[in-house]
Amino acid sequence: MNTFKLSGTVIETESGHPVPGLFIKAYDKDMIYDDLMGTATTNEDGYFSILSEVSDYRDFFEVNPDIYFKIYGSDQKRLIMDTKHCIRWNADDGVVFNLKADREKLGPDHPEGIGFILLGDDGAPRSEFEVGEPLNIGVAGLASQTAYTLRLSNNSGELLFEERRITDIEGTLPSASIWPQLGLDDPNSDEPITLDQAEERWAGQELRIQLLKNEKVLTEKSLSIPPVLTRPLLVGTDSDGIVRNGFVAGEAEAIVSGVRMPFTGTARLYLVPRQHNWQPGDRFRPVSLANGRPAFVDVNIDAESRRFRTTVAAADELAPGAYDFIIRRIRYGYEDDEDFVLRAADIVGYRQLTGLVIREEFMASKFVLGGCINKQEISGRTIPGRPYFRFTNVFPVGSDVYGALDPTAIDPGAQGKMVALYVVNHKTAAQWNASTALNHLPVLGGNPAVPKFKTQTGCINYNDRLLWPNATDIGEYDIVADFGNNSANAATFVTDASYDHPGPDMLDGASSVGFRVVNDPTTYTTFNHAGTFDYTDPAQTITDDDNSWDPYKDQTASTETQSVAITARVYFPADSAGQTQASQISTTQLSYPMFVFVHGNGHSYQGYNYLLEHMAKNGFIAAAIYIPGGMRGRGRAELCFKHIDRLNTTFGTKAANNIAIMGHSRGAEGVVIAALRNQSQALGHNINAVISLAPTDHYGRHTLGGTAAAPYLVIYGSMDGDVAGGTSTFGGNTIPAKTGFSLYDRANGAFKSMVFVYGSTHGRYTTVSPDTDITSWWTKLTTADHPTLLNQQAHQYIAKSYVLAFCRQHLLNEPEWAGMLQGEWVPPAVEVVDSGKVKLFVQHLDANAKIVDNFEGTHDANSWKFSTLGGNASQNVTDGGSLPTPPDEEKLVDVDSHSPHDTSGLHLRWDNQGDTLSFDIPSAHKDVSNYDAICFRITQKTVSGVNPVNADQDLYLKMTDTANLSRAIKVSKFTSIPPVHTRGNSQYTKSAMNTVRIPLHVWEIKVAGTQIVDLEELAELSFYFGVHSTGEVEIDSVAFTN
Amino acid sequence: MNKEFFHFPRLEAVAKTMNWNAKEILKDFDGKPHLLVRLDLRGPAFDHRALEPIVWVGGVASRCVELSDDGTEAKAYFDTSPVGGDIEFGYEDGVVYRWGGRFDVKDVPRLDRKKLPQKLKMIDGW
Repeated sequence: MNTFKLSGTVIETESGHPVPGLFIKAYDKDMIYDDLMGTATTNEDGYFSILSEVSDYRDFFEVNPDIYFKIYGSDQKRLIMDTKHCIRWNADDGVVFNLKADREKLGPDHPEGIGFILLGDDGAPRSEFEVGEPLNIGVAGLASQTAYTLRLSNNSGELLFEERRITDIEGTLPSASIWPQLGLDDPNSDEPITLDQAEERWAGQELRIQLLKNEKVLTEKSLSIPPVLTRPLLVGTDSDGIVRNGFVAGEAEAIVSGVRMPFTGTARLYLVPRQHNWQPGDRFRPVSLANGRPAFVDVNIDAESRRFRTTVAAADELAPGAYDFIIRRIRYGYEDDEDFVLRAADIVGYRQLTGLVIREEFMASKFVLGGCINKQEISGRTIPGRPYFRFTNVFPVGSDVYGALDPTAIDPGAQGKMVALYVVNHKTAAQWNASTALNHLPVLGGNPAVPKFKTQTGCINYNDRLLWPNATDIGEYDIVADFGNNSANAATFVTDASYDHPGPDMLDGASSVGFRVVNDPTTYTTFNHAGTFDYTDPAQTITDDDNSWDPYKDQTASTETQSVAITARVYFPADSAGQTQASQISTTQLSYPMFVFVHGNGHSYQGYNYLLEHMAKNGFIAAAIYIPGGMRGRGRAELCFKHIDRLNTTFGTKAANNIAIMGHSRGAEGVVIAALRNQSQALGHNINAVISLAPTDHYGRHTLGGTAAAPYLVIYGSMDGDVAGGTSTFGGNTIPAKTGFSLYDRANGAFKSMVFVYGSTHGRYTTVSPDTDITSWWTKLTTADHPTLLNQQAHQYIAKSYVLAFCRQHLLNEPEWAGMLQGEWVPPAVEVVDSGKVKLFVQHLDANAKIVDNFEGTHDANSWKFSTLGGNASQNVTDGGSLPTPPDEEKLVDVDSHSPHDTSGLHLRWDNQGDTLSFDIPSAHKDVSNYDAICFRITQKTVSGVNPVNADQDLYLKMTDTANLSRAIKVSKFTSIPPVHTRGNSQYTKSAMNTVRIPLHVWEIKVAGTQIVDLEELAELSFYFGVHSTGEVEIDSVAFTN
Repeated sequence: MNKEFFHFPRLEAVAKTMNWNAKEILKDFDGKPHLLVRLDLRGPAFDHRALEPIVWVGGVASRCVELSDDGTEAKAYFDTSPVGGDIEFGYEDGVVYRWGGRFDVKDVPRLDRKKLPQKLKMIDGW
């Protein structure tokens, strides 16, 4: 009888535990009917085997079977997994399978106890590792949110590594590398060793990893390093073969060493951008070096040694970044060998780890010029795609807080040393100056449970750790990396529970909050239910503007009347589901603020249910009102009041006179007109928030301000296909109009904020015909723009989060949202929606800001020399003759046709890193200590050949006191100055301002090598262009603010 | 009002089919009667946008334009008399349709002057 044997093991993915009792069915995939080859049940080791008769499956054409499995629970009914998507084609007799099942899918069949698994670079379980391979671990079945210690020892019991980690809410230690390149660094020192020395030292050794809790060993695993190494290894080294995975840009060549190559002859070594989890079929491209040369080099591998060492890029050719190595055999005449598609036979340095990290020069990366302060981002979250770890300062309640030490930010003297990461309550700079003591949060187990590990010099992913699983305590926190006694040896490392500065310790905090645990306004609700109903009342006569397509010429446009039905959709907070009557409004509160939404032309009041429901579940009576087609600004404003009256009648005393009005498109301009008419007509509505979503700006040069001032929020997208931009005339002058900018620019007298969203369109904020401005024949977008557009969910998240935060801040008096509306943080759900594609930039200005210069007034060739604060008596602004041409103080649209702001600003260009622009602070204004921050608006000029290509611009902001003590702060450490978002139709590309906000206490904190500035005695404020040697920007609204 | 101050180049397309009809009508603005020329256009799609629609005849711009809810009809009101020439439809950011040389003011039916209300705001240039 002709038989075929297959066997395998099923383990739990998370723990590596074998899974007993599972019912396995093996199939042969055929063209019509798949043949069942046999069944089996896994034993205590998760093992199964099936012996099949060949005649059972072999068909006319087939020699070997194409095998897949269906795996059922112990009840033999519940399907746990099906591997039909991953068939083993043409399998040989005796084939062995390693199957992994997720704990969630295993359900009641998941194995009990502690699962402890060692994993190779390919993610497969291993017990044998070769020198240079990453040693990864995964542990499951532990207590939730509890600190555990991992201890790695050699066969003589000598401690090699020790780490303390905290489990997540599921009781799992997330899979991570405990020794990224086994044997290639000395565990107990930071002395470099060569590949040969490493192999000689470790080959044939046995190692042991123990898992401990409170010094008690819970379980352990052994692993062996074979005496004869066989696996190929591709690693960055120096010319002597000493392992070197990272260095500072310009300091060294990129040299690669390869050993045990599986082929001989000519091979091509590529340096490629870092990718996580390389797989055959992935596309790659060699890095383009500084001189434009693609980064690859051909090497010869001789049959005897099967090794090589070569330079792939010179020291001055490589930019800071993360790179991988790929080597491929090249055969003469085979042009396919030059394809940039990864093959199974290609050798990749590492699949999970980074091959080479080129770091930015250490001191240049610091935010205080010339000062060695280790204030760096640490908090963040792991993400599945590049760059695999994202620094973030905001975490929604219940999420996991990770921390990572960027190798570029670690003091060179501390690299390769042990470190402890403390999570502490946020302290201001003054509080840190007063006390450097570290108290790891009690909820995390206090100081005895602080995570500790050995830092790695290569990729940031070596240095990320879970710090706070399931963070639930809303608040502000800092993280400190405490290098303690600065030891590389886990056995001798001692934390000192103190933030030592100056010194190697790193702080994520002080100058700004390290991280926040917040209610995410995208999903946050205070009521579980929202009731809803529609109403339609008899038509009423509404007065509207008539000829308003260029009303800037005539602000007293005449009016016409029309009859309009009073129709709206209403949502309200409710105590149970399914409520449809106003009388069923929640009994929790005596009254509720009101939120009235005015839609745009061609839109529908039925297209914003997602927003209304969100507002209602946050305690607002929320209504979207019907507007007939074609209605203009005044008509929309008047209808808004009709509905406020109607809602007051409907809800009676439950409706508070505490109102937010929001509009979209024409409605967005309509609500500004409504706020103005509310004041001019003395209507008595307390309008405490006005929100314009992608507003038009063509029913008059309206200014929300003066006695009608109200907190104002604008949301506008770089890819608006309808309100895309244009100009109008006013008083004989050209005025930028028809964008979302001008209404924001003109608003005054109250806090204002504008969120400019890259990739946001006009229509995707509504659910009814959301893509009209993308697909219509009149669209101002091109097909080239389409890949940059955010999806509809991203638009809705942005609207829900920013509108709610703004309304809660200004109607419910909740100050905790201020940071979001000042651009300090982005809601977590917005950060990750649409695959993390959202980039948004926030402008803001407080009504009580002390303006240093707003660049308004009469403009001439010398007007830039006089600031708003300094007056016109004598020159108080100077470039010291440094700038190549004098700055232009002018209407922004006149100096940059892509800058559609209705405001003046300063356009300037620099061509030397020594260039400056300084503003004198008059003695009457020298005390700025009562302000929280300095802020200014800035944008890169769109058409300029001197800004970084598709990259952020950067500069320093310097303050000098009357004692001539000064300090310069790098702007990019607080706010980016991004490249403009270019559009396919370039005339609609906009130089959008972005507000840089820097806390004033960064000029007061102790920083070795720099001076402390007395903020009660400020003498001068300077822009110092010492980061990039050239640049061209526009600046506005330089102010001290709270 | 002229269209030349638009900053951006106009988008233009020649619509293949278009029917138009013009007549004098009365309409109240600020509560006062105005005599206007109304030009009704049918044929292409007249989409509702955030921006205001505009019709030009021989370079003379309409005072206002009303689009039907279904976008099949545009009613353009002129308080300055167009004389004749191309009919163009567009929005604040430019022309999108043009029909060559169709309109002639002589074709516009007039209202009986004797029946019009007093204190009427007449059409400029009529």
